[in-house]
Amino acid sequence: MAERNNTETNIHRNEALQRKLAFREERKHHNVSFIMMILLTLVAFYAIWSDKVADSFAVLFILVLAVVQVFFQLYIWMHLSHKGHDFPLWGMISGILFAAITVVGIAGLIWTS
Amino acid sequence: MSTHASHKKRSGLMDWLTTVDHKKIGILYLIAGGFFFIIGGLEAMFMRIQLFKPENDFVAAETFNQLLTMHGTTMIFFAAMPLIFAFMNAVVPLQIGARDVAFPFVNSLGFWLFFFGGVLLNLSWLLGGAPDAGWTAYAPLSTTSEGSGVDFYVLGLQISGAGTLIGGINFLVTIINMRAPGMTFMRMPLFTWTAFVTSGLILFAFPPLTIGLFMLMFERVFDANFFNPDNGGNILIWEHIFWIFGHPEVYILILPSFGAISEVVATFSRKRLFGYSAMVFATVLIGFLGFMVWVHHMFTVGLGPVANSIFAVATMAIAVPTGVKIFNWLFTMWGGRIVFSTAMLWAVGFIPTFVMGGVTGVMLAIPSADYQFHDSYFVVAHFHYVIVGGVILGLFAGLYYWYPRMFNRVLNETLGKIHFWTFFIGFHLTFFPQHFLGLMGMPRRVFTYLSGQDLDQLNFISTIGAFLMAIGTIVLFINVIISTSKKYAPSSDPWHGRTLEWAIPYPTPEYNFAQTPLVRGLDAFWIEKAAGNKGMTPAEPVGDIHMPNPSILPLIISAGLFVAAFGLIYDTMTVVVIGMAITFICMFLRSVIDDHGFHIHKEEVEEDLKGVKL
Repeated sequence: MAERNNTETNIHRNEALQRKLAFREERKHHNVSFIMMILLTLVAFYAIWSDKVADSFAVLFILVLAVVQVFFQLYIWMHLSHKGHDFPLWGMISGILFAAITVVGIAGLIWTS
Repeated sequence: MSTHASHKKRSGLMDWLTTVDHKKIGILYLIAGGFFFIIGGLEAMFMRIQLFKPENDFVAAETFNQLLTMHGTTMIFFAAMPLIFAFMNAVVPLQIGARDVAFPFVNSLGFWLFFFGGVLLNLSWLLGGAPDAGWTAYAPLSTTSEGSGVDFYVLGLQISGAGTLIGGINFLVTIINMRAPGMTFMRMPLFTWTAFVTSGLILFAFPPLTIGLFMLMFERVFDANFFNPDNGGNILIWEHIFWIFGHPEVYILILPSFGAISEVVATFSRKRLFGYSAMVFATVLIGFLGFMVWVHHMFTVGLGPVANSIFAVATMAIAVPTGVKIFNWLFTMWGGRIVFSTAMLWAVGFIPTFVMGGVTGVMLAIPSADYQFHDSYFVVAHFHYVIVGGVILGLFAGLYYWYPRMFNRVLNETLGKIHFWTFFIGFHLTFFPQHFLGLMGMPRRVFTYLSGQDLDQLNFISTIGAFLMAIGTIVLFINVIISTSKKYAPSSDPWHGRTLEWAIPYPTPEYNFAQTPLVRGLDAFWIEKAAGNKGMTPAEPVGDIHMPNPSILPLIISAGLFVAAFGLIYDTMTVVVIGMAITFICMFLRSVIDDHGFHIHKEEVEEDLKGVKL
């Protein structure tokens, strides 16, 4: 009986440790992504502000940075990678897909021809 | 015990105006959709009478333009859409074992927005002329159309479109979150699956319509230049946006009909649906591909061979999942003990008719051939074969099938069969000759034609067919009126149904399921019956049931927008402000007043259960 109690306490302690580690890991992610997001924003500002970067390149460049920022936002801050987010994820992916088709379709067919 | 025991019972008219019960909202959708179906049908009859003989003068050219615009708009947005929502409301929560939709208040709001939008549009007949730019409202025809007809079109669709959008969101949330224990996605009845995919399509397809209508409104009311080439605009923007909405819209219409057909075919063949998972996959694939094909409405615009080819191939690809469905229905019937009830007749009639519409669809998907077919009666024949021969036949099958569940009465089978044969023969008589009229060069949307061009005879036949369809519809209404005088149906499961909605006793209790059922597989009710059980195995003990309170606010919110629309049409800002104020005050009230609903107590539920006869 005493032995069983002991095992239970051990399991309990183990779980608590796991949770603590996961929490620390997440805080690390938060800190890293926070710094990265500030850096990316600064880089984006610099790309536009500086004369050394050509405008045509800068526009594409900051769009790429924006996409990276979106992923930071969704996955690190809005916990999209956690369990139970399947439907929001599907909804967002299909929404982005259909919106992209619309934009590419109209832009491609009207403003390039 | 509950702290909110204020169980107010409203009766009569107020009950219907304030209801948030999905079953009653389903009936409201059915009645309103039926009403607009009659109006759209009358407009069609007037057009067919005008085209009865060459150079007829039954209606003037301007009136004909208004008739064809209003017929298309009414039938798509105010007849087919609400009829689909009628069945989604009446059936989906029952099929997944839920007590209501996720947001009952929003459900009611969706209905009233649709209703006021439809009324607004149809009032244009009495207020200086209906819209006359076609249901597609292409710029610059729509931007320069005189009078306020097109303004009614824009605002009527805007209001009802908002209702449809929130209805779609509501069903998405309902189907994801409110399934009974054991009701996994791959155990959902196919009608629920199609309702789910349709709701997803609504979510993504209606925002483009909203934006397009806003642009059109700004163009007309505030002199914007989105579609005006003189000021840097482009008329093609409207066509693209309209069809980015418009093509998914036709799948929004057809998918629930596919679902209804799947239920009817399986039930009356006494077999489980053949290839269930393939059916689900085909449904999702059709929904997905529906967004990639809009340019096939614009082949003759001149977008170039590359764009035309891409969209032609994408369009033809849709024939594959649709073919999968057709064969699955045939294989479901194969070897089944088929009962030709009225619902089954509609389903069986649907299959060859829809295949014909699909074949002409693939013909139209060939760009080079489309240059010949474009804007001719061939196109008119094609889309009536898919929308009447597909959507409406499926809805009639659903009506005869689910009528006992919705109204606790069965429709008369003999009258139903008369309805079927007159409507079915009338339909083919009306639209089959139109293929040839189109190939012989008769353009669509013309108010008359000359004699001596070999168009007389086929047009005459077409009009005769239209009268037959009208007779069929009158028979249906006689049938409905007769059914109201009947007592309850003999059994709560008149068709030996397979799905959960037939496991509920008559009349359907307000809370649907006294105890949430436990679902053990596909065709949940059939499994229990096959195991010799009387009903579903409950998943919970009898307890208090939480219900939403009825509310008049959805009606007033919608009425406010209705008033504001008149202000915009007649350019009186005070009326706009008054209307919007009504709407926003009601929304504010809804936000600040805590409404916890009420509970139906355990004792009442137990009392109901004692009186139950299955």
